Amino acid sequence: MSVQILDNNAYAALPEDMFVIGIDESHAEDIPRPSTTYWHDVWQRFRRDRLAVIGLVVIVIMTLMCIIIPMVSPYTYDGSDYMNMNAGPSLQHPCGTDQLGRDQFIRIMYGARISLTIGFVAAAINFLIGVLYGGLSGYLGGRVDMVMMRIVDILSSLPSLLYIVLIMLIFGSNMGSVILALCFTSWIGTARVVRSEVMHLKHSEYVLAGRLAGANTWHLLIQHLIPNAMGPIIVSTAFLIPGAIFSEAFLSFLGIGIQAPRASWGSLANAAIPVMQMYPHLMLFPVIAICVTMFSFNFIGDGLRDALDPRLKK
Amino acid sequence: MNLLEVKNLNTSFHIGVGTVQAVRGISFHVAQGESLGIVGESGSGKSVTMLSVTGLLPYNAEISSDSITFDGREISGLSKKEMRKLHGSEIGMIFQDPMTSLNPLFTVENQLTEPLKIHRHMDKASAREKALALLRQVDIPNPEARLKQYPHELSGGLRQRVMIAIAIACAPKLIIADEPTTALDVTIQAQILELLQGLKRDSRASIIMITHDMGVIASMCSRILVMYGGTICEQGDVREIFYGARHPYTWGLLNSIPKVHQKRGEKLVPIHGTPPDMLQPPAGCPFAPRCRYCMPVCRAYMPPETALSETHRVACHLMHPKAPKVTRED
Amino acid sequence: MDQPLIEVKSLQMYFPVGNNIFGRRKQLKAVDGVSFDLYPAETFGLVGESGCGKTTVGRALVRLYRPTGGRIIYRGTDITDLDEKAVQPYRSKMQMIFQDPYASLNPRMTVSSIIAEPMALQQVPQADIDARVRELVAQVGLKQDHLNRYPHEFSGGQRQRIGIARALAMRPEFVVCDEPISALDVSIQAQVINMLEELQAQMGMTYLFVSHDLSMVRHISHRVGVMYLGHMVELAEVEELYSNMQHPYTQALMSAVPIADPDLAAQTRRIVLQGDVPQPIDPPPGCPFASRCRYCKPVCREAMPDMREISPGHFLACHL
Repeated sequence: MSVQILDNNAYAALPEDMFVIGIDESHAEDIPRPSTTYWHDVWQRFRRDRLAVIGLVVIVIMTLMCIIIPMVSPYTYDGSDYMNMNAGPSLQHPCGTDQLGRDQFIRIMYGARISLTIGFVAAAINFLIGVLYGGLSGYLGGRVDMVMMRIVDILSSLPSLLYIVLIMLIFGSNMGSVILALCFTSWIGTARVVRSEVMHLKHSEYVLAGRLAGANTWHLLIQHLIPNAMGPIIVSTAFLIPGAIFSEAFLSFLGIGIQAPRASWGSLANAAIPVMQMYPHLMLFPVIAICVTMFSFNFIGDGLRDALDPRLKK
Repeated sequence: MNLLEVKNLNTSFHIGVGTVQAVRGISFHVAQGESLGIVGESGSGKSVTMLSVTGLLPYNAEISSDSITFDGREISGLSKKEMRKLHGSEIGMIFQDPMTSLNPLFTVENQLTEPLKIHRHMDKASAREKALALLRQVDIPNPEARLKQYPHELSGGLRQRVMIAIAIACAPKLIIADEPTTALDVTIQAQILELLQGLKRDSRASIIMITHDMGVIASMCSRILVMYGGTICEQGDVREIFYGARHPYTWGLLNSIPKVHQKRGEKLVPIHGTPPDMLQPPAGCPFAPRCRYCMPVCRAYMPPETALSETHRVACHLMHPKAPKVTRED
Repeated sequence: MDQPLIEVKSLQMYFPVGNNIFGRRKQLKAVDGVSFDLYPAETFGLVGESGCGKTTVGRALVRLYRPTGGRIIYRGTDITDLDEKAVQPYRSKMQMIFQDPYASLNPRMTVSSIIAEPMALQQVPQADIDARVRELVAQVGLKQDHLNRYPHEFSGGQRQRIGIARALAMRPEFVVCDEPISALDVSIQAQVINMLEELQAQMGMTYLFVSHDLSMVRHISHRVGVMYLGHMVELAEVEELYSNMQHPYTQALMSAVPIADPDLAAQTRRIVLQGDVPQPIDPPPGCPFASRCRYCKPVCREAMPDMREISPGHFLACHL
């Protein structure tokens, strides 16, 4: 787009009708740029982050695989193939089989179901509790905020392994109790983020305008405060997912999480310890699954952080 | 002799959605000892012009020019390091918000003596002496105590005075003040303007004053550039601009502020519409979409500059012999 | 004269700041005993520098704050201590136009939902809302196809007009204009001011025009109050005030405004005040302006001067 300048002769020779004053104000208020929304911009920025996109693709593929493959596969997580026990990777068993001849690949897929479910459910619960608790605490402020934050301080000072083991003992070692254990305090991070965002936003002029319009606390939170705090909330939630997945793997590895014959990545790795030197593939594949998932979620989280809050980008 | 001469400066910024053409082919000069005012609204390119000249633009900016000479020296190709040398010693900068341009982690003394030590090779004691003298020069009461303070302990007016003291520390040849009073209250603004006027009288430095406030310009500057849409639409000495402006945008600027004697009930004459989006600047005159005297030629071609006197130049198609004669309405 | 729309009687707004070790809270006296009346369809200009409490007065009047003292009487009803719910019927008649057109519109809402919000909250039927939104958008000179865009796509002046449309949605009687033009470019300021004047002529609203821009206040106001450090120091009809200002602060403030006319500027002598505006935290007794006043007498440091009427409608708080 270059600037249009005429040379002297051409300028002098311009016809008379180029010099008639005629005001056309119909375009004075036009906005030349195409309409974009905040989320559209975020997506544009996210898309440019190659690692984050790869992470997203990996997670989507893994999610689809762990849903579909167990439905179509001839194997089940507890069905044994006694002809092939402790077999290495082959066409029949892509990740080999374990001591009982169970197909390792399908067990990893079931593990992925558990891991991803725990990750997403824990994140969703954390998100809900954290947003509500932090939002109310931040908006109401004053004494209410004081009390709510002291409760949070007390909760977060409890030693986590202690109450996790207790929960497992009381509710049994199943997915529900793992999720309960993981959600018991991990919403606190989200709540703190939401609280500080809301405290900052509640003095903004559009919130005052909302109050003048007759909005109650609930409306202000839902309509004005939380949507504008969404960036940091999403980032903190995105980093919660890999944390929850890893914690589950860790608990199952210690033997207090998901129990055999159900498979989780942690319990698969645990089961592989005694035979690790003879059948390293039993350890290798679950660990790869954990690593790939961790990396993918963290890349997505980084990408989201940069996309949602460009100022934080280094 | 001209202290600063800029020829055909272009500056653009690459942002996600495209390229913002902030400054589009402007040329101007600053004479020795003169005070030049650059007026324009936000987005007119007035600040970017000065940042381009002094090489203080962020990494996503692209600058091109035919030449930029300062004190007889070509400075357009200078490295960052050479530019930095020029800054503290020969060009002093005063910014709108002293809180962001002073370092919050250092005391006033640190920040004031640093340029003296670097550029004037002073030792600690004499730099301190000089710093005290500078603080007195900018009318800061109790300068000994102020030296030990941090920027956040000072009020807005005092911070701006410290900023000015730093800018004049090494007796620069050129002082660039970018909206130096915009963030201040009226009575504090009056103090700072008084101080700047005193500096102008007492030193031989040239001053470039960038502002949107015609009032500040009227009392401070001898010559004025009016910028719009990244171009200079009119320039002239202060009387030519205030009493003999020829560009409809300058008229608009002058008409849209209430006069001192203006009574209630007299309507202000606003400029319609909104400033151009420099992502997609108009092909012709940038002011054409908002101009009351817009002609077909204005939308098609950029107007050439017409010289009306030694100093008075205007870029408007109304100066064309075939154009109708219009005058400013009050 | 008519019955006042709003009577403000020695309004006080103190904010606690910090806590010292003995538990005694310091008080920031943002507004300390301000009284004035607002009459229907008038524009009352409130001028002063930052920290003088003018914005706080505006926000207290629409009851965004609960005053710590004094009374606010709206059409004969005391609304000073009403709680959020009880104040709502009055509040829908009182609206506000904010200073920062970038911060006063929720960036996640479309223009139409921003303008419609006050009506939606008051359970106006959806069809009426849509019609009214279209009407308002036309009234403030925006286009119908702007309705589904987001605030960040608009220029400062356009956003301020969206804010005006929102304020007008419930047909208020009283609008606080809190520095509505200070964040706008000069050429845009006049657009907004003209629009405010036209709307007042059409709808007969009362404005409280809070600003630090003395020439704009003179242009738009019928009466003007000058505030300094939480106190009203002078109040008069606009022409009376600008031609016969009595308070030393008013005089200094007025002469500090840069004049956009080089000849006139060269003739006029500026009164330059020394020093900075003090903080209104636990202020000393006496006149708030005493520390910067050229005519300060011993009495000024001891007693707060009372507001007295020096000529009809011209009030002054000064010992001189």
